[in-house]
Amino acid sequence: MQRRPLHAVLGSALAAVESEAPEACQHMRQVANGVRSSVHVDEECFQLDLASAGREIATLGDCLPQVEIALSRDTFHALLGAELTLEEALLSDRLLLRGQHESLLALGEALAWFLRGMLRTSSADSLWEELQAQRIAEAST
Amino acid sequence: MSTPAALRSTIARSIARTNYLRGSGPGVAHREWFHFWISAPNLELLINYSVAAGPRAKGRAARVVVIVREAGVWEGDVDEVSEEGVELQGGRVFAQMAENVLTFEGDVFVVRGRLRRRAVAFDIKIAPTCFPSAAYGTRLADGRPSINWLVVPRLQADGVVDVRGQRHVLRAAPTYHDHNWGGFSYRDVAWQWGHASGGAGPDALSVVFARLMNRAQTEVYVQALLLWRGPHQLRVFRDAELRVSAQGVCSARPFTVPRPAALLLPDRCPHVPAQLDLAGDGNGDHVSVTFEPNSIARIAVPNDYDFGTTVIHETVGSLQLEASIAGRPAQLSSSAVFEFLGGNS
Repeated sequence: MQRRPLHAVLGSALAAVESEAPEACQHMRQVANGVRSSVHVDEECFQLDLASAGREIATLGDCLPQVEIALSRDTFHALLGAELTLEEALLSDRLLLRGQHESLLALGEALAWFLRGMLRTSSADSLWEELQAQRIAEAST
Repeated sequence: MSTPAALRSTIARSIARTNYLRGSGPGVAHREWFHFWISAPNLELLINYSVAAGPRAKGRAARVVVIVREAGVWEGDVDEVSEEGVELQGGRVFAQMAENVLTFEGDVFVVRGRLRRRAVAFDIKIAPTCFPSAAYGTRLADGRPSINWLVVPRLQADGVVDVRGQRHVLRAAPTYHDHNWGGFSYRDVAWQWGHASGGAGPDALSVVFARLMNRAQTEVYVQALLLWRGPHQLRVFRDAELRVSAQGVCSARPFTVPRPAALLLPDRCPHVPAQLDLAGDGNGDHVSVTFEPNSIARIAVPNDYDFGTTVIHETVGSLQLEASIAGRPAQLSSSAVFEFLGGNS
């Protein structure tokens, strides 16, 4: 199975939330308040702007992000798999977050709305399955 | 001790007459589930088949929840099954949800299925060994649709359960079953619901506790503690006969399904007490029960009326019961399972 980059999986998830849980998507964009984040997951780097309809994910540009996020793919899986809490990830430096507290709060709220939307989409199951299969494949290599 | 064939047949008939799939007409809000909890050495297994009709997210018709506690470690998941994978036959027990099947054939439930994303599969026959108790038309709040339920506290499960490649063979494993249905929603409702059984033979005790409240837990809609001796119901302590008090907060770290929902929930479970005490008195009978949970699995159910999440906590722990019914003492010391429904995030 070919492993899709994380930004591609995230892009599919955002599209699912937009089409299947539009109200949650609207809340997400509203509370994101224009906060842009740079996301570093192992070798992958991309920009995340949850307020930007249809262009939430982009390559890193010249604009300075308000929030920097760095974690490994393994930590991402562990968080999504409930093996690790956010607090544990932060305290053990497995998740690095840097930004003004207003920006961090806005991002946290926007991600919560994204998750609320995801839990209400029928596409979520296939995305969780894809991530699960990826993790099993990664663990066996 | 095995249940005599004639009694088993009578129990099965009473269940077949009352415990059938209700369903609803098109467009009518309806929620219904069949719930089994099986206990075996080194294994606890929850299987719950549910359907919901009404203003839910599109493309979702049924849900299969399977949670296993194997040698103290939780595993499990929630599988959503879309409409095309669901077959329900009202008026009897028949539900097919993708690869998961539930029927009542002869005098046993047949429960067979597997999780899509986790290595858990089961093929089990479950024989009731005591008579059911039913409650119809319980109002949760003024003007709100009612909830109905039927409980069978003591059944025996035979079959196999595969967990992460490990096969468990069940032989007469103690099992609990309930069936709930109605037009109710989780809006403004919380509950505490527990069950335990112990011993064998005609004097074996079983207990079920049900308490439904408003979400803030400031108003009790209904509460009851039901006792069985052997196959027969012995006593029900209802409403004013029963006092309930909770102490502290359970500190166990919860297991969560679906797993990503854990990111929306607190790391601990404020709705699960460290200890729950029940005391019943009436007509010269009395009962006292203490339950102490030591392990929690929680099921996050997206609300169909807002963007919050209803959290159903399944807790395993120890139970001590002492009673005197019609002048005859009764005691039970066993493991127990209590469910605490509440929470919103």
